[in-house]
Amino acid sequence: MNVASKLTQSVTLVDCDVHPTIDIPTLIPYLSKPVAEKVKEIGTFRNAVTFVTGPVYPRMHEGALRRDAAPSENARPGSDPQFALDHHIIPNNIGDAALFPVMGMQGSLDREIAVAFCRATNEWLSDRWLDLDERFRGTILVPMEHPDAAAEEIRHWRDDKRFIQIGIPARAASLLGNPYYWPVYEAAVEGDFALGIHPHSGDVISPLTSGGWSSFYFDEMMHFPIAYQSQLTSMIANGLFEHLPDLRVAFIEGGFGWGPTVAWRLDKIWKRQNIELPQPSKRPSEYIRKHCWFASQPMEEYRTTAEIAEVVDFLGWDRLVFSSDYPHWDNDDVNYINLPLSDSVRRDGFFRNNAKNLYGNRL
Amino acid sequence: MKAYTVCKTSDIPEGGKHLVNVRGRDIVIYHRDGKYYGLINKCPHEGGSLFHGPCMGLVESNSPGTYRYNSDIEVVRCPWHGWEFDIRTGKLIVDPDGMRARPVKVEAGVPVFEPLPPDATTVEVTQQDEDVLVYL
Repeated sequence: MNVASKLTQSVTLVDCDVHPTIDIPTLIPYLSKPVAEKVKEIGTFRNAVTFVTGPVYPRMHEGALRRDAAPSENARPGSDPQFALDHHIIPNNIGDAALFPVMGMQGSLDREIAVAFCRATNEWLSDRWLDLDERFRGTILVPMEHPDAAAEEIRHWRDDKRFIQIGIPARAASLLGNPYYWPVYEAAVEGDFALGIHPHSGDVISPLTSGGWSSFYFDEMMHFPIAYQSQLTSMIANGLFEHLPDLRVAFIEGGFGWGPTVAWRLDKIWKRQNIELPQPSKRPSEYIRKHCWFASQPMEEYRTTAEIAEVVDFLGWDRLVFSSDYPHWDNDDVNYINLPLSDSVRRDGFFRNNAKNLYGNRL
Repeated sequence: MKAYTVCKTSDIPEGGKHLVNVRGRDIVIYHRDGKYYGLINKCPHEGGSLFHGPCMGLVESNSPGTYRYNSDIEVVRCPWHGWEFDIRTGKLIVDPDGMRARPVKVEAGVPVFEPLPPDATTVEVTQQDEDVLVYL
């Protein structure tokens, strides 16, 4: 096996989605005394919704984690950076791994809690992971529902070149194109950061679907890409990419099969209804090809490579970046990438060069 | 085919499992009802370690909301994407036909495909006195 591992030998990979596992007790020492006392008094949080201490749906495997990635019997997968290096980063020839801590308080409407926990997580990531190895690259978590504070958090870290992107939840109180959130994106562009949008427990403030809450994790997973269709549509309709022509956005953990269908429909609607929009707009698919990148995992499982090639041909082979989602249960192993990558430009683009364009000077 | 002594019977209590390596291949051995069963420790889907997967009876259902726990069959569930295999036969519980195929070659510009190997690969395991033997 491992045809793909031969493919990957020519470049060191960029893995656009690796998860350090964080728990609330670990963050307590990073909190100010009043916030730590508050948490002690009213209980710990996990999700944006107070008093919900677990995921909304059981996650298939405990914590959605790979059981074979546990550093030891009692340690959780993703809790030990040295183990992640030895188990995933080094054997898979990964030169840069974008770390995305899944920390539920990011979406909290409690300003004090959201701000304090985002800062604590960023400091913890810096201390525990980024200091250990330069292959670990940081995501700055920001208190999404408090855009002025989120912009401040971005400015706080902007001189730290180890951080390469701003972590944006896949769902927020409003759709992400809403100008209410623009201070976050303005600060990101000002600091030369990409946006990394990712679904996680910090975004349960509204359902991922456009129609209500799912019954199971099964159908919630289906809605990762569907949420992205809504978010991308909102960004284009609100003129975000006109407002910030240098904005770079990665859609993580939604695959990429959803891209062409939203582009086709948007282009059609645009032709008929662009007069409605408050600003002049280019053809929507042009924005997608300029501003958006699609992280591969969880890859669609196609019947033939001809099918998958057609999808990527439309999006552009320079729009696709490799992501594993290590150490989560539904990760994609680099040795089993089901894409036609025999062409070296495509291959090196997918595994490294496209991510260099996404993350710009910070990578 | 050659026999390799991989461990002692005391290493695998009844109901237990054990991971061994034979000529560079990881093999998970299960001990059930006095017999030993071996699987190559690589899920045919994306290569997850079956040794780390939980073992359980098979949950069957004929209609929504009704479930039956079938303890006659014991399955291992891959710790990655949840594919389930009968630990005694390696047989995949959910048939992947139609879910995904993988190209093998291109003929005159046309890809020729074959279905994914659906089952986990079984390995013969026997007991000889206090030793457990694997045949490869």
